[in-house]
Amino acid sequence: MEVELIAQMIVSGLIIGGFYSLMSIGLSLIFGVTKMVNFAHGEFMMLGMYLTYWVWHFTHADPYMLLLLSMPTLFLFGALVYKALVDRVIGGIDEQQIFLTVGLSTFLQNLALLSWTGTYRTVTTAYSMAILSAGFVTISVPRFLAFICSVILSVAITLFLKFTKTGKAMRATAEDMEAAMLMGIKPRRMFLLSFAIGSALVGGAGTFLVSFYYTWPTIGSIFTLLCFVTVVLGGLGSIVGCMIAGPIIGIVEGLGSLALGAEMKLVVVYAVFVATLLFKPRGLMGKRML
Amino acid sequence: MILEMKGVTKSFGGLVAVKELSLGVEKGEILGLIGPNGAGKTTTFNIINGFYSPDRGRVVFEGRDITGKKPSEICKLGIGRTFQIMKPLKRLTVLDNVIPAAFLRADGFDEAKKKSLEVLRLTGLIGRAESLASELTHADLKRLELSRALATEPKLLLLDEVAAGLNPKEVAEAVDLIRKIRDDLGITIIWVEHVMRAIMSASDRIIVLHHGEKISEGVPEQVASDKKVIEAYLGESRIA
Amino acid sequence: MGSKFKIRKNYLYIAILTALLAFPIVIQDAFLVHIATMIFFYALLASAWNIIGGYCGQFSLGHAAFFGLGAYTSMLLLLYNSVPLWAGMFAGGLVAAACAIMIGLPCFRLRGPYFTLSSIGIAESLRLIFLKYRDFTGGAVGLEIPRFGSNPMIGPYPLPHKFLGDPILYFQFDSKIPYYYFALGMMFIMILITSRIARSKLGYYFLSIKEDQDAAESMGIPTTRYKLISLLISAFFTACGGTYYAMYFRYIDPDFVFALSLSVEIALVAIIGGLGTIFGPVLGAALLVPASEEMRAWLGGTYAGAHLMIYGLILMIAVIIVPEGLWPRLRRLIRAKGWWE
Repeated sequence: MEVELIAQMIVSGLIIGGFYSLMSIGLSLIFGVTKMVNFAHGEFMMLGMYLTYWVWHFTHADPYMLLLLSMPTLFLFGALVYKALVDRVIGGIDEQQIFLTVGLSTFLQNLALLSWTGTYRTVTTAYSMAILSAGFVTISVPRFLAFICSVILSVAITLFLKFTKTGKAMRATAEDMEAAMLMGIKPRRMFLLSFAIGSALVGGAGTFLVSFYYTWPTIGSIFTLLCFVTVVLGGLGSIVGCMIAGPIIGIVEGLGSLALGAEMKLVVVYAVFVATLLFKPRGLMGKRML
Repeated sequence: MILEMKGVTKSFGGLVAVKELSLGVEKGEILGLIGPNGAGKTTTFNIINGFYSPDRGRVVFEGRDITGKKPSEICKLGIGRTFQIMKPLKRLTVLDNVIPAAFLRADGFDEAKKKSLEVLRLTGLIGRAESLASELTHADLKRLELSRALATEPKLLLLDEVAAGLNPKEVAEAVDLIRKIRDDLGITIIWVEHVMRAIMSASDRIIVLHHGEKISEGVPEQVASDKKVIEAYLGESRIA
Repeated sequence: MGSKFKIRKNYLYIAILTALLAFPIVIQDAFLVHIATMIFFYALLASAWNIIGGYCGQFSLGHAAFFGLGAYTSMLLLLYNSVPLWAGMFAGGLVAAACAIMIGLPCFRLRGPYFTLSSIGIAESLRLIFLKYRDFTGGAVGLEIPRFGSNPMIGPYPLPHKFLGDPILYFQFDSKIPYYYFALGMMFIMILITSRIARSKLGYYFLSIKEDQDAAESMGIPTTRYKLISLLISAFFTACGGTYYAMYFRYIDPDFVFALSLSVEIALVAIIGGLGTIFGPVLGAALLVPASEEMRAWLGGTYAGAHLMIYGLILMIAVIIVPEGLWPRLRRLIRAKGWWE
């Protein structure tokens, strides 16, 4: 295999990996704080994608501007989902927690299918086709923008968790809920917040994604799986882990695509998942959030 | 010696929970394990029982090295245990809670059920056999924990704070039951407890842990008047 | 009111069994026979899922992996080697069992959502693999039971030999009635197996693992081993269901047999009916299959999306309001009214 091809794959993998990190941080945050897996995570992103698409469709606003719309909207949506549904099963039995979001995922996917049909949609902008070159490596501008913004958002959420009072409260809840309660933190508020923030982050990721990729109602499934793998590789509940794992998965995906063909990308990623479970089940960074 | 711990050390992160702990338990005795909070008592149980693997040291049961074995293997070898934070199988009945434990030594459902009923008679839960575990009182949950452990026909029983949360009458009943288990069934008992009256009155010997180390050992009267022990408890502002 | 209706359990069972056996002969409606067959089919799948999910508490969202492996193993054996499907069923079960060990071993040593996540991944991976290697598997075009005397097709390409044999040996009938009895028989066997497990060491061990793994270990239960056993049983019978699907519909393709929506449907039937009970899955199937057929009639062209959307809604509501399922509630009601003896 030519060195250039591999180098290109690695760079592309890093770029998309940064995006995967952002996409997955929300899931990791929700799990870290609530100990629940949000199986509808991909669908929240799908909603962010469609929201961005439709507003762009009618206003032709730049998608990155629409971040100011998609993130708050998804924040509220996540909070709503928590309050109306998740709160009823938090602390309940396993099957309730798993199948509630599974049902939500199925519901949202098919609601989208009915509302907007299965037609693939994407957002095109003046710079959609633009590329940057560095030697023999080319980077698509929309992807690069997404990468930069993903990194910015990832760093922002890390700073939030590390330095703000609320962020610290969330970390405390994630680490030891009983101790947190003794400190006067209300766990359910933290759960609500983690859902809201997690949704906002993945909704924002959706806004980026639709600017260089297509959206369709069932896109959530694919990306939820990618998120799971990233989160587990990084360490369930670890934000820093996500940031490291994202690029790794991006690169693995790219190399897998070279080796076995684009259709088998997910299979290679899944193999990484199984390998993680076999050799480092706690993930690269373990369970601590930061 | 039915059980020996030799130089067992266990740390979590930077914290040393148990440090160079060596102790021996004679067959048929009731050994009390006491110490202020955080002394490492439950950690010790978790190591004996197989939930934790010690960083250093060995655990020998009936001459066999059981260090690092899985809890289910250790149970099979004859060590039973109750939990401080109780773990009833909530959605099952009392009887159905005990039957899985009985299956360890029983052949088939009928024998398991028979053995379970016998155990429930011994622990006084027979009247509640068909109640759901989630409906039991605190004292009865303790009996359930005990029943499950007894159903595995252990040679050594690890009791973790059986008297916690019980009123004086219930404590007395618990002590009687524990004595009976040793006297009638010949089971060796290691007992972690905070209710001093109970453990001091029923134990043959006491071992005191403090910050993961053994600071005193002997018959209850000796230990009760040991200055080190008194300091350890007073120092922690805690007398049971 | 209660005492007048004391029903003897055994008489009830015999009555139901007789009714089921006589049904297709008495009711000459092919559509109703089809509905009944589908009820048995989903009851079988949900019962199999129930072994690992309902009893053992390990929730799989990828049982389609086993279903598809069963369907493809037997179908490929039929096309390449002329092995009748009912014989290939056993091979399908074994392949699925092997797959079960592969995902069980890394996951069951761990606690947490890993098994559920893995199950999604394995089904998806198999779907992609079977789509890609189409020269062997037929790919997206799928595989069809060939007509007698013609060449079997792998996707769009014919194999060199002709498919010969006796239709009865190959269980190929024009009427739906034999398929009805076959499905009934399979469901019956599954119910029998579930009830044997429920009253045995296996059943009690599974339930203990589900309720509290630490307690289970302390009672001498090797939890990893028993989780694996549970999954093996579940996978084997789910694969048998996959082969049955191939028999009945005569056509399979990766996008259906490995679909996530199928995995979710199977779990849904078990959950609605009642996890960890013997008859729960049967009740679940009896409710959901006719309901989905009704929806199909009602919603016409938009069916695919609406049907699943409603399933999602039902799942959410069920999990919040009746997490233990409908069968336990029904059972309590019957007992309370004193109808049972």
